Amino acid sequence: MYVLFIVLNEPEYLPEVLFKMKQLGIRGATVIDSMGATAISKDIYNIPVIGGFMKSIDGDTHYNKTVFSVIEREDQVELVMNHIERVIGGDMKKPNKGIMFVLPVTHMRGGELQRHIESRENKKVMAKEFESEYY
Amino acid sequence: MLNCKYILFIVINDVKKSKSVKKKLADLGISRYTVIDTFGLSAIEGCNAKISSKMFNYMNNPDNKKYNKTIFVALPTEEAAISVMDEIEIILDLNSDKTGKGIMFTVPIYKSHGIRI
Repeated sequence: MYVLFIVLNEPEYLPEVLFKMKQLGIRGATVIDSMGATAISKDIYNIPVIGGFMKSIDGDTHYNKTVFSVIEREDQVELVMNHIERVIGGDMKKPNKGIMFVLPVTHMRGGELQRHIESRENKKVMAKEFESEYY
Repeated sequence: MLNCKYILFIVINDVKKSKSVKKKLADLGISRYTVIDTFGLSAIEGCNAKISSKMFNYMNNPDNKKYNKTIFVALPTEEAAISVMDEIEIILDLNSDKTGKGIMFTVPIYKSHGIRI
């Protein structure tokens, strides 16, 4: 079990990313409004009045979105990462695209994924029982 | 200061239950954790890839139902993580057949500094 974190520096891709994840069978994701380090690095923002004015002109362009989702298998993680990279323009090595990383999950409770795993396991047990009864 | 081994992420879809979760964490002696306002995949249901994010105004959600809370808390041992998960599972009713209650998972910590419980 893994948790995939996706930091999208171009939040306009968020609906497409989530849509793609759903298409690939990912059963849930959580989105955080986040902010990159570059968002606070503009010196002009520190100037009173002008800084505030510049911030309001820039709007929320420096804000990004962080998505995390628990994914069952490594091959699914690879698939999702490849598709997402394609959705957001093809090459995450380019600056200001974002970042993706995967962490191992040691324990998990709840969520659509657990229910999916449980129902799959139940089906396997039932199939085995059916086989043993049949033969 | 403790050498924490796990980070427990708790995604609470029913935001009303976040108070009960916080109370339970306090009962378990956990007073330091981080709470984030988040939203789930259901917040974009009905939207398709052709709609641009500017048009996709997910902030326009009067009931605030699709928004959830994510809590992350550092825990020193696997046993502690499991016992906290057991307690929170009951509060969030994660074992029920109904979907969309939330999710919890733990991630191992490689190195930590300054974590107190």
